[in-house]
Amino acid sequence: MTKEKTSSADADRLLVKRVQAGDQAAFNALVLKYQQRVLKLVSRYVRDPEEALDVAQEVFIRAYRALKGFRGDSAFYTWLYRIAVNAAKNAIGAATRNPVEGGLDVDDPELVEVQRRMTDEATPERLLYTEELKETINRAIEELPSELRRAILLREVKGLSYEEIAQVMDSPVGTVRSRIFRAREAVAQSIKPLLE
Amino acid sequence: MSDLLREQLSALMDGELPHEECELLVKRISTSADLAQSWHAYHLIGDALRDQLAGGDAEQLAPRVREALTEEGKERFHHAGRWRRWSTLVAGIAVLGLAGLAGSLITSHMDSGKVFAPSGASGTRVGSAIHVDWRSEPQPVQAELSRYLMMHDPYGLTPNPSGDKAGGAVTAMPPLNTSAQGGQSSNTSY
Repeated sequence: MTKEKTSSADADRLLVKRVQAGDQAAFNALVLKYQQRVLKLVSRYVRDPEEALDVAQEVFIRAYRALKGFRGDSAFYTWLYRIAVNAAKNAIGAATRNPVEGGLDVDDPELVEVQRRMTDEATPERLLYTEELKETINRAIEELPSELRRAILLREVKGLSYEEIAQVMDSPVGTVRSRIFRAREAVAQSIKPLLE
Repeated sequence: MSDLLREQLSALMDGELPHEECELLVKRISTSADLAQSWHAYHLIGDALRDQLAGGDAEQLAPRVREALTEEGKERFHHAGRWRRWSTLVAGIAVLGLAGLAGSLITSHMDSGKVFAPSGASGTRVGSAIHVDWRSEPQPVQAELSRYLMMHDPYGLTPNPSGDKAGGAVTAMPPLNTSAQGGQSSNTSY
């Protein structure tokens, strides 16, 4: 008899349930999971990285406050996505209503460009960090034994289930699970210094 | 933290963990810093491989959100404390106000006897009408009641109207059934 498996959304549902019961650390796990996606989404609307970060923070705080009323009719990320888009649109709306910001007129394309370059110049460390993180992860993936590399790429990039990967690789599901775990562990060790 | 737990975590992320193992593991994520760190790293790896990294700033989000929520919690706690202090103060003032009002009403009633005076004796001071020592007045009902109790009290515990304890009433008690008490003395008194 095969055991009933969870979906990735089930982990979210369980975490949400714990947050609703008052476990704030469970919410931290949800933030850790979605922080990259939410910031990337918000950054599509809000160009200024500092403001985008503020808006993304606001997204999570709003989500936390509203989570008591979340019934789970949709997936948690679908719900969070809507909050993020609304918050980003509100931020744009606020910027349009207050055209003079930081002494620069955002309606003036030349000044906006100057501001953008100033902001970019102000965040080289952040860009460097992201680049370093990407490079470290890619290098670690390249250095993995081929079975491990193949398993993790089929899972993370192609989004295949363990069952599907097992068929592709002609290996038992348990072996696939173990390979994916070992691949993640090896890469996690390589980025550990960057996360401390 | 064991490899087994981390392997379970990896499977949970992929939605490949059996149901019965999920709840406990999710609980562990929120209680174990090591497990939370692995959870973070594994998701970061996936985001990087799918080209979903937003930038270095995203790594600041979790601590910032945590801090903001902690501050908000503290603020709510202080707000509740302030609210409690204010409500205590308001309640105290209300009680004092009510006590003052009651006091002034009593004083005004004491000063003007009109309120309690009988209709035919307007202008009589309330004090003279109220401060009658009713205990010194003959109370026909009370006397009647005392007499009744005297007559129907087999143990003679009711004081007679003259104030003496009816000590002789003990002798008037019905005799005890001594045989039922295994030959105890019939002089047993209470």
